[in-house]
Amino acid sequence: MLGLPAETILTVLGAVIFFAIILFLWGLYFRGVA
Amino acid sequence: MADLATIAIISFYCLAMIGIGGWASRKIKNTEDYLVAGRSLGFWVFVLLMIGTVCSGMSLLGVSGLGYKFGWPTFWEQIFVPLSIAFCVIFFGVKLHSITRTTGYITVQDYLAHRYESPTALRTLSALSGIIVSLIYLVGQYTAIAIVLMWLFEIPLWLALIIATLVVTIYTTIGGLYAVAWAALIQSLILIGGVVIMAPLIIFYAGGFTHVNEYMASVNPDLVRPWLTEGMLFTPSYLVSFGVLLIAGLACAPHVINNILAVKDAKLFAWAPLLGFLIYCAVMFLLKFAGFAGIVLVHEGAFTLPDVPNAQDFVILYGIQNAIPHVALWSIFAVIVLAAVMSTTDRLMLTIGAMFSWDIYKKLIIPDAPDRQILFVSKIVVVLSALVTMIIALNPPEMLAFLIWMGIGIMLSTFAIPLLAGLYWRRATRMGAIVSMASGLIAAGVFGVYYQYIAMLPLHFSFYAVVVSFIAMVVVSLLTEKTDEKILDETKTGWFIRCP
Repeated sequence: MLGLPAETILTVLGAVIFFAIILFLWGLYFRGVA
Repeated sequence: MADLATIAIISFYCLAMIGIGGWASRKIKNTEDYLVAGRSLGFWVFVLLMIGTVCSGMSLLGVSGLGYKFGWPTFWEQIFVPLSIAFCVIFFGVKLHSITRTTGYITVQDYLAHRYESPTALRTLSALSGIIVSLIYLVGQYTAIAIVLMWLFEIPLWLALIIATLVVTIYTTIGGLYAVAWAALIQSLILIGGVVIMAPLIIFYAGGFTHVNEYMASVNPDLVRPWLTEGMLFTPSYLVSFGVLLIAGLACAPHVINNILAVKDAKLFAWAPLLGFLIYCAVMFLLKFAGFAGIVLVHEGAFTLPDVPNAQDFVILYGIQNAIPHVALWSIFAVIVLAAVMSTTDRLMLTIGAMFSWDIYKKLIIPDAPDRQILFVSKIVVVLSALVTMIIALNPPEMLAFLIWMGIGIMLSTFAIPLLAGLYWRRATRMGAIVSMASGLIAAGVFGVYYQYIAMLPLHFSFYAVVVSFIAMVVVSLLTEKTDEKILDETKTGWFIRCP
């Protein structure tokens, strides 16, 4: 897909989504305590 | 190359920046207004100031350049650099901002001096290393401005440098952080909008995203892998050290962390990390893809890169020139690069001004200096820092890229451990911080020179220096007397992020 190996697509998307979720959870946590 | 429209667009941008400086100057009543914008920054101004501060001109040209040279294994840079904004806010910002509400810190050196009961030694050491690192970084920024202006107008380097220096110096000197922050708002919007429009045009010109990837795989399969398995660069172990360098190194850079002290309300720390990460991620990925497109365009003969050591840094400029064959549109791209460069340059100059006028002049040389005098000294230092770096940039040192990496490495090696230990570990002591900072500085120099001139290392050189700094902090702190409990309570030291 997109001319890339599956390993590359999964790694890139996985990294972006993983950190976005972590920061989203941080937002929920901090909004609750701020 | 330049026509009337080009000159008009660039002139309008420069005059707008100076106009912001003039508007901001009316808000400056004292040093606090000048150096921390009266602690008035709201959500979007803060988020875009952080993006503008971290995204420099060299990174704008360098991101595409690195993508052109090594392909997908470099995509981690697009994760790590935006994460530095989140790291700075979460691990330094929340607590520093909370302490600042009662202590009124102007610079991060104020915190170090207070937490480690070291009004002279640690403050001087950290201010001086901060000034040196910022000056190194500034030379790189001015060189990037010059590259763009020379490319667009075909003017000599000295003229390009004088124009760029004059504009940034005027609005920074008269408007302080108010001008820097509001200019960053405009500059970051130009940067984001510009990259979102221009990068896809280069990718389409090269045949589309899928074609670019297929072409890269046919040239060298390593170009489309998420990391490399052979060699010294972009291997998994190298990427770990690269991640530490970019995330923590940029987060604790004085010109980045000082933005925290200007925030109006801690509530914005909830969503600033996520928004900063996502927006900057999108911009940096697009720039990287433009660099990938450059591989196709160069191989297919659309253009030839210049015969210079950093030829890859020109790939996005030449890509724009070919994909959008109209000189007036190139000038819009020039404005984008100028915006990226200036948004970092002005913050660096102001940080140097703050560190000298506040940490050295006010706290060491003339403690009873009146506020107006400090403000005056700060403005003079901003102008001097611009002049010194402009003169150095006239003959840019050959190892410029090395110096910039060294600069980020030194920031990480000197500031990260004393700051993190100071905020979270009650056993960290004054001597521990001084030895940690000094040994980190020396180790960064030793490992950096070894890495550059003697032999490659399996990890980024700054990683070794951080380990040295960490060991020094732990060993020396445990061997020396504990810090006064009253100071530890005042500086809210402990294993928590949210302050009770």
